[in-house]
Amino acid sequence: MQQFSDQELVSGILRGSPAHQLALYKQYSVPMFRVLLRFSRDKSEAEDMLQDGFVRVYRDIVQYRGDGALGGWIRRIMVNTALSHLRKQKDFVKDVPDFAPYEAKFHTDEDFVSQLDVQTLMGYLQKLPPGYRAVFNLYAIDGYSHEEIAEQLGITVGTSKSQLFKAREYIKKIIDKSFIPSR
Amino acid sequence: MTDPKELNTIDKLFRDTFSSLPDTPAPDGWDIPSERVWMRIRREIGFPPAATGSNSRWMLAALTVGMVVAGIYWLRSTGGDTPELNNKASEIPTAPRVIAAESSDSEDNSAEVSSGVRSIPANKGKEETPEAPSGRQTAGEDTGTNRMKGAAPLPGTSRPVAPNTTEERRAALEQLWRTPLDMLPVPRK
Repeated sequence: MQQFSDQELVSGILRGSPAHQLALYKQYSVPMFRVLLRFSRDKSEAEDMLQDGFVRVYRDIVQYRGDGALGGWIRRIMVNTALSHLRKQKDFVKDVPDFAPYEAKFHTDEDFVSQLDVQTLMGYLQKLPPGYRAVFNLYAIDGYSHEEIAEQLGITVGTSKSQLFKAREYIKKIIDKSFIPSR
Repeated sequence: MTDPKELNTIDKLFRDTFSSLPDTPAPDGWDIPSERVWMRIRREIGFPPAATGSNSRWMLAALTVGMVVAGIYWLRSTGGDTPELNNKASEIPTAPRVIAAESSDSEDNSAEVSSGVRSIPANKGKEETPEAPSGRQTAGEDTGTNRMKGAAPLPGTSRPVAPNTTEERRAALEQLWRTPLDMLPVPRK
């Protein structure tokens, strides 16, 4: 497939060129889908988010001014789309009723953890409740601050911190459950 | 409370894993969205299919090829007539044709002269062209001669019939053949 620069893609799409429309999707669908898989509970939900995200990208591309990388601009749209999807879920940013802090020491072997591949970690993230998943993704992976997360999700900073703490506990618990100590 | 260092390890594990993914999709395709996503996007936005451009180009090319093939077929099917017409236009007709044409032409002429009005057929002048002595007369010379001979007469005037030079020449040749040749002079010893 022909590779276009960001500027070529944008100008081509604004001209209505089908080749540029498809090229933008081909160029950015995989990295954006990876982002959305982290925010979703499964592949189907991630595909719904991807669809909505790209629809917004094509509709709003006239607003892209070229002052940053096109990939970063698309990524922000995708993350916002994912968050709006999560906000629609009724249990979003609510404590899981049977959740208890994971008191046991995180005893998983470091070698085991370092060998976890991306798909396994993706599976762990997708098992998290939506609120935990959103905050953990935004804070631990995407590098947002609690203030930014609170603003984006419409929650307080305290809630954001609490959700992050519980998300970590949850992940530790899952990893420990999957850990089989070597004898 | 869990050790902060431990928590950072989990964060780092996820951050490092997801930020170091290659640009290319995974071989097993776990990070490739299904084809229907693009189809739904296209439908929602109202994009024409991206392949339409190339499809229409292929259809245009196929149509052009089809027209060329049809043209070639038509030329071949009418090939028996067309080249002959072209030859008639560029070459001087042979004597038998001229004779045949004249035989019918003379009848036409008689009818037309009586009515006083004569229409000019497209290649009438050429049909009336006498056979060139060498048979290699150029088209330009032929055209000029024909134009004069084939010019339409004024209304009310009779058009002179061209002399049948072919017949005259044929008769002259026959006469020549009938004439016995003189004896060759006997060389003196």
